[in-house]
Amino acid sequence: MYNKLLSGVIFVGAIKLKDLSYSYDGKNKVLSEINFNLRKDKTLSIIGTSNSGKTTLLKILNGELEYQGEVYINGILVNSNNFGALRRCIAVVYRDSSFITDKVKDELRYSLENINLSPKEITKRINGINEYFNINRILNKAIDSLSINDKTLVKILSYAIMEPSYIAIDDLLIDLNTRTKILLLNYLNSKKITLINVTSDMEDVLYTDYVLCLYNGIDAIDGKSLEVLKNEKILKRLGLSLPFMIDLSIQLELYGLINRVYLNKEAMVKNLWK
Amino acid sequence: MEIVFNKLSYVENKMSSSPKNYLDNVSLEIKQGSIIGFIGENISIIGKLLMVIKRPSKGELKLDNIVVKRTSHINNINLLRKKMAFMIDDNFNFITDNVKSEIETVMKNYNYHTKDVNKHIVDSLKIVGLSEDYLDRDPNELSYTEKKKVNLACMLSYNPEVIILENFEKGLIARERTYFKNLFLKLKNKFNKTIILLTKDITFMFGIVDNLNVINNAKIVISGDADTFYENKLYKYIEMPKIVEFTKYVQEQGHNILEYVDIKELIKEIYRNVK
Amino acid sequence: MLNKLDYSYNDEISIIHRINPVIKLFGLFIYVLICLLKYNNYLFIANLSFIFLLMLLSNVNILRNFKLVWKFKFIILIMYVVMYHYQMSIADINIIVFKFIFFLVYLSVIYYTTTKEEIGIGLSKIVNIFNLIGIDLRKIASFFTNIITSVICFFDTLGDTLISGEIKGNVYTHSNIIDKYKLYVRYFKKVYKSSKDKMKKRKNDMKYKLYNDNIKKRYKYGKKLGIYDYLFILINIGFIVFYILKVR
Repeated sequence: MYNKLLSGVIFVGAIKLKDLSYSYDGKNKVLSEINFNLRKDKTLSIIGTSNSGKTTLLKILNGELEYQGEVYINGILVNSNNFGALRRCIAVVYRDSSFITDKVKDELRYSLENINLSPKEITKRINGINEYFNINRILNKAIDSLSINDKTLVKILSYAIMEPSYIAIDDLLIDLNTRTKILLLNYLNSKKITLINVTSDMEDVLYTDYVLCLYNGIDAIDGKSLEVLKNEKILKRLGLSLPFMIDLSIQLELYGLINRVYLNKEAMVKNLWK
Repeated sequence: MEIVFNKLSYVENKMSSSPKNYLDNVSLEIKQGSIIGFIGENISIIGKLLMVIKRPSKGELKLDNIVVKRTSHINNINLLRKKMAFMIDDNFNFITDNVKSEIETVMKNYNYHTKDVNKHIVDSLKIVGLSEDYLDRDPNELSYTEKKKVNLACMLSYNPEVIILENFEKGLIARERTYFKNLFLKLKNKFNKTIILLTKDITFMFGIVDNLNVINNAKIVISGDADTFYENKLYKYIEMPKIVEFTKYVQEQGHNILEYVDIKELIKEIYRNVK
Repeated sequence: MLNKLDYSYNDEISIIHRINPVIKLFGLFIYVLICLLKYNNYLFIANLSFIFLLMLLSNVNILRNFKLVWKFKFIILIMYVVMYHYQMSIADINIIVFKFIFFLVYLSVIYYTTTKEEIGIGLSKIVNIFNLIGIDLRKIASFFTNIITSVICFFDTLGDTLISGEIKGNVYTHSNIIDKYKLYVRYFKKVYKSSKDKMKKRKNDMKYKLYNDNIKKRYKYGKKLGIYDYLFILINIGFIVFYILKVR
């Protein structure tokens, strides 16, 4: 029924989901038999309808739930015994993740002080953040007084500053303005923190290498972002939209006006009006 | 309900070194049976003022023939409030433990009577796309979008004249957005309701708003109809949606295409223009 | 309705913000001590002026500091009634009430100028000074911060629930004091459970940010003491010295 695309080659993933299933009451399966491998250093978007199990998948990666199947992150099996080791591998940021402290500066430093990182190193990391985001202007401000953009940024950075291998974000990028979002993606890239982004904004899928689409707890489609996004029929049948340029390209292709997908408006316009 | 803001100002935290100026001498009129969009920082204040949860610091707010000033006395506030409904983004503190009693409480508070209460509750859930299974679920355990839908079901259950929503479309997928846009249009056209959308995401307003207001530094800086979507001055305050960006670029390159907010119309237009 | 700025850290910039939290709490302790000891006109006025000065220097609006006092208006009224009943002179009652009022003001000055974490650390250091408990500083600090945060979380949730309930028809802003209290009672169980869940979540989130009860902190909390810290200590010690020499 659902067209399931696998990327051409089976590889050893840095995040490996094998026959992953989860049910909270033993009857209704929130996730069914997910098999997915994410290569090291490849970013991932997770999309899907509202009840498809996206947040549950993040909770499982975070080690919060007992699941059936196997989940490995950087070769470490996700279970309660490996809690400590997994903290350096993955950080998960939810919409309702709490702030522990009052001030921006304290929140950013909190996790680093917990592991007794030297003040020199802590300052170095904060300076690193400041280069991208000019965070100095809000370092001494109370978190409650910040705008939604700044507050969300601080929330994400308070986890990113730990420099885990992976950071999973549950649909929080929609609260950032585009400029901050791009800076964040660049920052994560520069620190080699691989992003797993659950998103309801299809345009953001273009920022990641791979995408996994869930529907009713099943892997409906997955693969390289651009290839998956070209599957207009499946995505529209699931109720999702396409990023604007891809939607436009595919429909103009049907009219015979262009012969491929253009992401860049300059190139598309040049080819439309030859 | 005719809504009039008359030289209304709202300031919070006067007693701090940095008082927050939400609205400054704002005057506007909202006629019944229209869909209006508002864009700005802390825009939820509009909903709080309309529901008389906050009072204007200066000036007045007219709701039909009731004048609301900082110190005016209102008898039986729920008689006024039941004509309106409001949802704040990110404040989902429900007052009961299950969806059914949540809707029942709201209906009871606003004195909405109907022969078959249970059927009415199920219908309210159906309108927002939730099945009967949600009746005995704890609303606090639901996902972000489900919580919003439950709140909307509560709002619609007592049949208000004015519906005010903050960031409703956030987190919804395309099919849901289309569904709710059509629902709001139907509420306006068939039932003559007023829908007030408070959001920065103007793509949700495409095709449905009659009027758009941008509030910057507590003043109304832009007020116009749907033609405003293609005015450059709008994008000093918000981000330009892709479809507008694309159309403007094409026009800059010298191709004369008409301005659309629907991608299907845009494609037909491009076809006409290229051939 | 509950205004969040009235019960959260105010991030102004002032001398008082910069003073070490241990020293601020020490000052409060000295004030309470002097209040309970034998009365002296000069000391009383000096004390109240000192607190007033702190209030001015903290860059937090004066009226905001008195908001806490306003919340205790019934208790103050009862104090008058009870003490008058016991035939104390009006002058004496006034002195006691003023001591109480300025205690509340002092408390709110400290509260607005110190983050919850700093208060927790300050309290834990004080407890440690007296060597009352032989446990790790971090644990005690966390414990104190947790209590303060729990109370704040409760009021936050209560405030949000009142607004959310008002929108759904449980009138709060336009009802009298009796109906307001009825609403508090009605929401209490729910808000208590909800804030308890939030605190549990916060505790979990601390673990995800690498918090561990067993870690010994390597570096000292807080900055070095500056001139205003020493001045503060000096003034307070001055009060004690004055008492010992002139009042006893």
